[in-house]
Amino acid sequence: MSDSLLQTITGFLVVIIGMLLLTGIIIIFSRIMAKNNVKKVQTVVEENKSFEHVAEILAVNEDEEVIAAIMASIDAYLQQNSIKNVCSIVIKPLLRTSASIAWSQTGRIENVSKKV
Amino acid sequence: MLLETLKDLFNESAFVTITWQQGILILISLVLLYLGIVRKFEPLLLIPIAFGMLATNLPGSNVYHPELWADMKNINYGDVLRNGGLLDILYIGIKSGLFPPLIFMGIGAMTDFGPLIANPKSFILGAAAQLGIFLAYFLAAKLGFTPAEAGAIGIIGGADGPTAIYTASILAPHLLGAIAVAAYSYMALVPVIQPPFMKLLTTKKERAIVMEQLRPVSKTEKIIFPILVTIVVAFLIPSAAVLVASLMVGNLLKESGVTDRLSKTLQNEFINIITICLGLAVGATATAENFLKAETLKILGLGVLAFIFGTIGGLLFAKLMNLLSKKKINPLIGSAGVSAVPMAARISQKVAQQENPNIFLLMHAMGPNVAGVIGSAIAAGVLISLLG
Repeated sequence: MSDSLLQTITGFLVVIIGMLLLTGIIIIFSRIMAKNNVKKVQTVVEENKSFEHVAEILAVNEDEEVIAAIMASIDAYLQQNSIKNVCSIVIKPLLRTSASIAWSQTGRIENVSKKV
Repeated sequence: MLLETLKDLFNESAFVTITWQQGILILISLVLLYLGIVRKFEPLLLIPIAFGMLATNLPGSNVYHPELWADMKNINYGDVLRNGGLLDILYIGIKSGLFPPLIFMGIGAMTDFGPLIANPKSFILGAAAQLGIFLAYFLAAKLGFTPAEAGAIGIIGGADGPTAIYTASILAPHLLGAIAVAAYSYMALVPVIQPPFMKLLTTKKERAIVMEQLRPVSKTEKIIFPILVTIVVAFLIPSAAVLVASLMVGNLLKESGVTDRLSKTLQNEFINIITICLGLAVGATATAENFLKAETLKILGLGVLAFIFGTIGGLLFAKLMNLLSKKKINPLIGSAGVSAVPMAARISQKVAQQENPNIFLLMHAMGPNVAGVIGSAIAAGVLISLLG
């Protein structure tokens, strides 16, 4: 077998072996990472379970009310100030007249209809 | 008196001193400039290379002095700095092996190894596509080139410009101009060279295979990957450590997320400056005595064969993996293992979409594509340690 053929085979085999080794190491490393991720997810799920009863209590439409309050305040501000395209911090005390959802819906509908 | 002065001036001008060899090389450089500017063949490097070639072959330009580099083993760098031209000084960056690793840092900062981490089997395809390097080496040796020259020619098959320049500057500096021109020209011709072999070696059914979506890769994995690869490669093939470590440090700066400034510099100004210097200096080595030889034609021929063998190696290995693997693998991603990032991956996507318009193979092909960069750097290290 000529030297060049021997070096061709040797060289290519070394590259293949090197890359196979890298493949193996990355696969092992990925599996370790995946295991760690599974553990983290399990911990988060368990923590969430312990808070489930709290979540149930808080499962009222609080978010909607807060969003509606902000939208209504922006709306009121825009009605008072005719200058548009001006950015400023809006600090407006909200006088809550009703706790019903209807209040929030009205505010949202008014705001959306103006934009449309 | 006036007539004599004019006559002397004319005799000193390039019209009289130019040789026919220089004339041919000026024409070649103009053709390369046309290919780079009009046809957009790897313009970022082909244009500086072509301009370096033009500048060095203009009579009396004195930008590069081949005689200063004649004795490659005992270069007097003091002499180069004192008597050399601009391109002589830039060439120190190549001769000292400085520019290619610096370019690799920039490439590393621009590379996303996510697809490779998500599918580590891509490493094997990146290795298989290096077949072209070693078969071209074997053929070059059979054609009468010395082992070191054959190794430098073979590396064209890696389809990686900086790796080719790095290897050639160590193994066969006198062939650097021809090898660099061949490497960059063929990289630009990947869309022409690869598709016929991709279609020839795969069936329509294979080309239409839809692969499973890659899993998401976490930030931690992306940070650990470059460190891990550097350590493994440095332990296994120390001569490849310079290139791989440069690639990986660039990538680490990007993925760490805390060195945005450094990463952006590597991706932009840094790599651009080095590219200009590298291109001009490589082009300068294409002097008449180095370039206008029958050997250059052989190098160009062997270069294209190396590309073809690399493509075939990747495709056949991907076919084999498809047969053995439980998950279906589209063999077209194998051809992307020849490096030439991201052109080769785009070609895999394009050829696959001709069979199945709903296929999205690009991310799958990027895995072997970036593995090819690591593979060609390892192959370069192997050739340097075997033949250097």
